[in-house]
Amino acid sequence: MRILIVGGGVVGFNLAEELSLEGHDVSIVDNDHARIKKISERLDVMSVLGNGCRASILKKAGIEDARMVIAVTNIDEINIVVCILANKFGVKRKVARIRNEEFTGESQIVDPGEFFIDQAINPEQVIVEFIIDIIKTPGAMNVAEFADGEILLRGFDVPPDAPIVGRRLEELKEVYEMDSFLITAVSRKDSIIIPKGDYMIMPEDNIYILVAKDTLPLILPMLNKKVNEIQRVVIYGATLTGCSLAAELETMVRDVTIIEPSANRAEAAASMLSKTMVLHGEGTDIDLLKEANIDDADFFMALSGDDESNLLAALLGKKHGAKKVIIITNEPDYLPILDSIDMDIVINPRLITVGAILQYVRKGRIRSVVKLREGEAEVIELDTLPGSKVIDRKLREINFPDGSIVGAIIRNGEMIIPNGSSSIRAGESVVVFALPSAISKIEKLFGKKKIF
Amino acid sequence: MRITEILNRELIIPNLKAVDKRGVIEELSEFLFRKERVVDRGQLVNALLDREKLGSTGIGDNVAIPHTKLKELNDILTVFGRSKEGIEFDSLDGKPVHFVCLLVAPEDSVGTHLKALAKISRLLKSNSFRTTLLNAETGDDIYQIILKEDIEIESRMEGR
Repeated sequence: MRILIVGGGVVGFNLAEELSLEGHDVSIVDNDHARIKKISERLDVMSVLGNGCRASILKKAGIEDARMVIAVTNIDEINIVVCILANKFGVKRKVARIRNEEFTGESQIVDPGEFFIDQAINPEQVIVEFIIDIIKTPGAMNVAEFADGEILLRGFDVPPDAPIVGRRLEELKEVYEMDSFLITAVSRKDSIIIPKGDYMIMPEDNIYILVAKDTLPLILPMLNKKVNEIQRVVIYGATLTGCSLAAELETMVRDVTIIEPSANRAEAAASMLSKTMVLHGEGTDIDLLKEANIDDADFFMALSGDDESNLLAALLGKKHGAKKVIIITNEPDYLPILDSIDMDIVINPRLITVGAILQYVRKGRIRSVVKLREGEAEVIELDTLPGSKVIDRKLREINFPDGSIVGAIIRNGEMIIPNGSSSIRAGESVVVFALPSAISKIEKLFGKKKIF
Repeated sequence: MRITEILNRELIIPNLKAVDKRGVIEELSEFLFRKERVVDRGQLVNALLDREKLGSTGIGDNVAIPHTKLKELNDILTVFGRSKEGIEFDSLDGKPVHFVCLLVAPEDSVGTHLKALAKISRLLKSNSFRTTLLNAETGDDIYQIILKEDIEIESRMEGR
C-alpha cells in the first residue's frame, strides 16, 4: 500500500526503510535539505522537500493515493495538522507521534481522535510501559507480548544455580507442555540459535521463552527468579519519562529516588510525586549517588535527555553497587557500544517508537514483530492465510526453514505449545521465532506475499 | 471453563495438617488414594516432588498449584486444601502457603490442564477473595465461596 511519512528524522527514516523493504510504496516529506538528501541517497523511496503542513507539498508526495499517513516530525502540533489534512484527502489510517501528555494522558481535554488521529503514539508512555513490564518479570531482559497479551515473550539470563541448568530440553518436555511455555531461542556467547531437544541449558545462557500469561509465575522459580526482588529504584533525570515512571513505581516498590540536575525540574518533580525522594544535583556526583543509597539499589535508571550524562551516570551507578542498570540513549549508533560495556537494558526512544508504529501498521496479516538483539532474530505473530501450505498438516511434515520454530499456536485465544504432530487450523495465528536467513521463507509459507 | 467442571465438593480439605511442602503433597496424595481417585499414591508423590525440584509451584500470594500428569486418569483431577496456619513451600514471594490446589492431568490432556491452571490462578488473584476463603468455617463454606467468586469473574468477563 502507499504510505506517506511526514518527518525524516531517525523515526521517519527507520520506518521508511522497514516499510519499503516490506514492499510498501513509501514517500517521505521533510523540510530539511540534508535529511532529504540522505534519504534519497540511501533508500528506495520517494522524497519531497518541504513543509508537511502545506497541502500542496502533501499532494506532491502523493497523499491523494495514500492509504496511510504517519506523522513523526519533532513537533506535536505539526503532526496533528498533518493528520487533519490527511483526513481532508480521505486517507484511511492516520498515525501520529504525540509527545505531550496533555494530548495523550488521562487528563487530556481533546481526544486524538478529534484531530482525526487513529493511533497516537507517545514514546514516553511506550517506554514507561516497557520498563514496568521488565520490572514485573524479575530477571527479564527482553519483554514482548503476543495474542493480545495472552502470550508473553521473556528473555532471561540463566544464573548458575537455576534448577534448569544442566537439563536437556527433551527432559523438560512434559513440564513445558503442562506449564505452557517453550524455550524458543538461546543466545550463548555471541550467537543466537534455536535449540533442539538435546540442547543442554548452561549457566550464562540467555534464553528466550514464550509463555502463557497465566503460567509465567510457574517458570520464574525454574530460573531462580523471585518476585519483589526490586524494592529500591534510583532514577537519574526528572524527564517526562522519569516522572511518569516514578509515579507508577511508587505504587509497586518500596523506595524511589530521582536525581535531577535542574532546580526547576527537581522542584516540579517533588511537587508532583508523593512518595518519591527527589535530589537536586548531577547524576555523576558520587556523593549524591551515595546519598541516594546507590549501593543498595536494585535498579538504576539513567533516563535524562543527555546521552553522555546517562552513560557516565550509569557506569558510576553500576560501579557503586546498583544491581541492574537501564539506560536511555537517543543515538542509535551507541547501541552496540552500550551492549559491550555491560549495560543491562538499553532503550532507544526512537527505535521503540518505530516498533510501536510498525506494530500498528502491520495490523492485518502480520500482527506483530519483535526484533531481538538488534535484528539478529525476529519473533513474528502471523495469521495463516486461507490456502496456505501450512494448514491442516502435521508440523513435522512441513518444510520449515532451518533457523525457525513455531513457538505457539493461538487457538481460541489460548496458547498451544506445538509439537511435531500438532497442526495449524485455518484462521488460527501462530508465533514464529526466526533468524534473519529464515524470515522470507517463513513469510512465503504463511502466504505473506499477498499482505495488505 | 467453569470451576465446577474441575472441582467438586468431595475433594476439599478445609484444614490441612501438613506444615511443609513434602508433607502437604503426601497428605493430598493420601487423601486422593483414600477417596479411590488414584491407585498409587507413591507414584503421585514422586511425580509431584520431581516437578517441584525444577522450581516451586508456590506462585506467590499464599497460593501453590502443585501439578503433574498420570497415565491412569481419564479426567483432570483437582483437590483443594486450606491451611490456616500456613505451609512452608519455598514460594516465589517467600510467603507461607494457605491455599494448595493440586492438579493431576491425564496423559493426553492438551488444552484442559492449561485452562484449569489458568482458571485456578485467576480465581485466587483477588486479595479479598483469599481473605474470605481463609476465614471460611467449613469445607461447604469454602466450596460455596469458590463457586460464587467464579460466577462473579465469569460475568465480569462477559460484561467486557
